[in-house]
Amino acid sequence: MRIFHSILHGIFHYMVQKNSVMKNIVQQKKRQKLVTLALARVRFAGLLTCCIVLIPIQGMSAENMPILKGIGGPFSLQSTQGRQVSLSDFNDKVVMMFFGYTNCADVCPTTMAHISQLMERLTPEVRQQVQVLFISIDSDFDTPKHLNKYLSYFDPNFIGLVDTRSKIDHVAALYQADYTKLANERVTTEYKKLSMDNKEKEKKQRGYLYSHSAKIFVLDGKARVRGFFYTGTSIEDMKQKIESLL
Amino acid sequence: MKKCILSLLMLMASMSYSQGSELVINDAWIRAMPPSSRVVPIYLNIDNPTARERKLIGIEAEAGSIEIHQTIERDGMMYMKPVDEIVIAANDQVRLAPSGFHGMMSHFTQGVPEQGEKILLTLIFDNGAKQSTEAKVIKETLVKEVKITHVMAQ
Repeated sequence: MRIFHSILHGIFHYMVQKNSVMKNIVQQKKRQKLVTLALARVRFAGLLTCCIVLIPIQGMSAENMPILKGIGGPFSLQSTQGRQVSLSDFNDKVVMMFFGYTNCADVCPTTMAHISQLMERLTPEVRQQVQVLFISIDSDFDTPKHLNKYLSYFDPNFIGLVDTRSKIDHVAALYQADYTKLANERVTTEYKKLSMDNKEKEKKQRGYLYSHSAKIFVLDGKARVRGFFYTGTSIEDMKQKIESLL
Repeated sequence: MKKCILSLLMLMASMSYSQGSELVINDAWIRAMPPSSRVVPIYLNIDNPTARERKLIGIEAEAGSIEIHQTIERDGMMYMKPVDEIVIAANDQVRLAPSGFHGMMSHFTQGVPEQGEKILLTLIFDNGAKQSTEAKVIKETLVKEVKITHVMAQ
């Protein structure tokens, strides 16, 4: 009888809680207290009730990673895997995506090093549910092979994507990842064609620089954009957010 | 007596000379990058404890050619631009650090610097002074003291 009473009590609190979630978004802190209270009361009331109460709690921890509308979308590009890779290949995984290029001295390696530090901090189970994608905006120079050598230095599980300029531009537009090239266009950019001769020629010319998005796009298991990380986002913060999306 | 004055003058001259190149350069490092890289970044700190402004106008190395660049973060974009000089104000310091000012080394004479290697750099200032420092090649995961300060968290 006592147990039955507790269950009813728990369900009642859950209903109250659910209503308040729907009615009032601002009173988030109060709600959290209520949930905790409800959870405490149903502690002995049986597994079923516990599960019901836990659902809104889980929902809440991902609240600071809302689904962002109007950004993102599916795509398929050539990859370092030696085949076309589609975003849908990573369903049920959290995807961290960055737009960069291998001839980038500062931001890209800083970002890749930051992400690989994060990956080292995740448990093997969580790590398996996270995929890092590096989309090259330098389709004049980067090839899947070159991209693979570059990325495997940071983490052999990172996948690089590069394709024709128009395909890359399409994906960059989907994700609002603007980029511009500051360049001396005479620079020899074909990696494949580099020979001793034009290496000499190249010496006399300045290189090129791309300005590009600083964002690490964070996508959930349904390929929805849930937020952004930056090189200034702490590893701990990134770790918590990723875990909340799994 | 003459000898004494002469040596005194020499002493003064050497003192003023050492005060003339009084910038302090430290913590120089190069990020270890894949052997296929064409560019690597150079980071370091310059302290200017003097009452006079100084400008860094170039960095040279036997190991490759170096340009000075700046990364500027604005509205979620990272803008890259080459810079001709970096001003180090009197009694101030400047950091060449990830996501800010940095040297970009390319056209390597002995290949991409490898982790653990030490690369000799010569910094050139607007008054003609040259100062050398050794940069360690390291993977950032091993650089605990490096803090990224130029990029704001979201």
